[in-house]
Amino acid sequence: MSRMLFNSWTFAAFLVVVFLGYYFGPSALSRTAAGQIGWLTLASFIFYGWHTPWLVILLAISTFINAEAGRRLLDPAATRAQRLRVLWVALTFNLSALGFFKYASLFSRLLLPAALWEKWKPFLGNVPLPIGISFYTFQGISLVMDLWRAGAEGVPGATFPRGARETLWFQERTWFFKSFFPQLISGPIVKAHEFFHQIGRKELRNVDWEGAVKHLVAGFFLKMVVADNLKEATVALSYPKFMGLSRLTLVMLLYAFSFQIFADFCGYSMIAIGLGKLFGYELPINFRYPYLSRSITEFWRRWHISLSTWLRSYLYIPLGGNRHGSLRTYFNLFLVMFLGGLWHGAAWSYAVWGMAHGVLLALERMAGVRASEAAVEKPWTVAAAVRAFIVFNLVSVLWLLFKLPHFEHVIAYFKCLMRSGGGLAPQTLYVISVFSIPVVLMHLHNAAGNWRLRLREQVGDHSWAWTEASVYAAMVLLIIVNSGTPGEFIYFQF
Amino acid sequence: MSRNRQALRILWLAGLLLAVFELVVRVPPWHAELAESNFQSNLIRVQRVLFDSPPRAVIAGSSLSGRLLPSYFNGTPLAPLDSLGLDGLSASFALDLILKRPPSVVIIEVNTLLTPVNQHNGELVDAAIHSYLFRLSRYLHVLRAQSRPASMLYSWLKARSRKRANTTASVPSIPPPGPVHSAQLPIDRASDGGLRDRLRAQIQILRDHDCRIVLMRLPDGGRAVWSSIPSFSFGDDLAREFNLVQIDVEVECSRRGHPVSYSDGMHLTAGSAREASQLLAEQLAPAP
Repeated sequence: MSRMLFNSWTFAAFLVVVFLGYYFGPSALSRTAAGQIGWLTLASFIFYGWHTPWLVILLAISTFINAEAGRRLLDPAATRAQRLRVLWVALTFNLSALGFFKYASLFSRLLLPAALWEKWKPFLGNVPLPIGISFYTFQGISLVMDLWRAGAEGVPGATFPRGARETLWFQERTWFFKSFFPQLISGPIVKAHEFFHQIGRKELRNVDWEGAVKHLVAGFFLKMVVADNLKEATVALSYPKFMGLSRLTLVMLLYAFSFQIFADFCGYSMIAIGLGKLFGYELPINFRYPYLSRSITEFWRRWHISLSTWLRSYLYIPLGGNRHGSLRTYFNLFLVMFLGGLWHGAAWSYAVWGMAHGVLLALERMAGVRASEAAVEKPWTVAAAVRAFIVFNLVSVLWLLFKLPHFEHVIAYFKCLMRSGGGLAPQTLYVISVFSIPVVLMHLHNAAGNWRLRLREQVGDHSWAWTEASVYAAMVLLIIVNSGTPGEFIYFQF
Repeated sequence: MSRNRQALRILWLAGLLLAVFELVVRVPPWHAELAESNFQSNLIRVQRVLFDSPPRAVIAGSSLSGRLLPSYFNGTPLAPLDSLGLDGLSASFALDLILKRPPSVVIIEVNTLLTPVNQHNGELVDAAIHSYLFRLSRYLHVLRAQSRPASMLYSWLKARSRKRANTTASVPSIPPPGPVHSAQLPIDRASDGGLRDRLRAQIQILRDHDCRIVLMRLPDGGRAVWSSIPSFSFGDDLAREFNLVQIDVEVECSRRGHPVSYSDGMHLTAGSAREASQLLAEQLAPAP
């Protein structure tokens, strides 16, 4: 069976069944919180195991252990030492699972003596990578870390369960938190303190339909119309296909890949948020127009926000953050980004990508750049636009490490860029120009914040609502008539 | 409540837009003849052959014959003609589709007869053909590849540039190397994995349907000459076995003194493709 992608008919049918069961199923299922959550958890496991059924065993083990660790962390009778031991066991389990399935090949090749590696290569070199493991493992770590920090009081919605019934209820909610299908495979990474308090009985009349429809439409548009069409062009950004291309085409391809990866991942996140809303849950926003960033620091406040906040909360701050002097701060930034890079995949190109971001963040820190929330709202000047353009180019160049995982291919790309000549590919340039427009427009639309508000005041709420609805309706039309070749989401591989 | 109203507004407007667009794309000028990607170009051709009114003639081949656009045959005895000159694919793949609705005339491109099909392209088109949306597109024109706004714009831009190229200086041509006779080259009969038998069977079925089958050798700039040789040789065999007409467009062009030009050293430019189409139509016209 093929994978159940959000943009597949299988998923559409699955969603209809799950939605109907959730709100209109038998009373025991749709009229109680336990029934609704049980139903969604069951659906999430079916969703996850659709392509590779054995994966649900791994997810179930991971969920059970984290839930049990969570329960023990909440136990008011436990001493600090006992709780600390539980925390370490849970963290070791989570990181070992991630380490084994994701990095066994990379690190054993690096650390084992050559003879031993040759002997174990057939096993360690072929460990399958379970889809979504990076995401749900991070959610597991978030759970135990949040409960450790909160102490016996717990976090809203997650307090110590007393008796068998409450323990079962706690387990059920934890299983739901770890497996909720909209964000299971590629995020947004949900933290326990953001989610547990939302868990409860949901009613159809409380569904935020506007938010759900808008997120779903924008998400599917970004994925199916923008990313899937740009993919047709960025196929040329692979070795040796790009070797004969002109300088202009090479630069355009680089920009196109930046737009594609944004549209693909932001699209997925928006679909996840929209789906969450259909079932009455708010998932965190994951992207805030990242290519408007005027510094790399700001970029990380706008790109994959759920990952960057996770890294900040559970890695950067425990490492000491900026509390131990400048040198330690730079080192922490570097280390966090290095690990963040490796989180994306077991290849040195990802590590180098992370390190490069770490170095840039440290350099900006030295130069006094701070990413305060207010920076996002700062007015646009020519200097700000130039800075944003430079940052966009830096980020785009670093994306090359995602697209071309072999360093020699990246070098070959730059060599091609340096020499003149090469053939112009009009078809490729056309695809890039046309399908980059939506990404550029949505960023400009956000950049024109005040102007937009003034316009809204002038035209009035009624006309504004119709205009906005027309834009979303046009997106629906384009999803139906102008989608690209269907394909998996880029972030599935991470 | 007003939040729900906005969601309904979006869906209602989307439905309205879709209905209007369905009416618009049923009118011929709003059809893309080409697309910005090989996959979509292939879909346009396949959907035209399978869903539109039956053509008189169909070309089966690869991207080489894909340059001979159906519109170039308008006003000729071969019109209405559809092309299954599929990017990254070959005549055999196209013939499978043609067999679903055989026309009166089938023109088979010889150059890539034995060239292995690009598996990825083949799988994509195959998966698309077997999808629900594809079947639905028989009735709903909005779902057809020719209705994609991006492809319509691309088609229009291409047509404009073709027109400009016709009125301005000729496109620089990349000269092909000297002719290589097929008999000079060894033929690897074992490597085509039953393709020869499959092609023979396809031709036999078409003949059983009283189709007129014509073999066509297209100029390919000599770039593909080495890979084309086994195909040319096999084309000769087919012509003999089934007593088929074979037209060598390159030879005909040079006999008439028409220089052949290529856009990328292998595919014909719009001007040359138009001339090749006219020549083909003349050759296949019934005797007065």
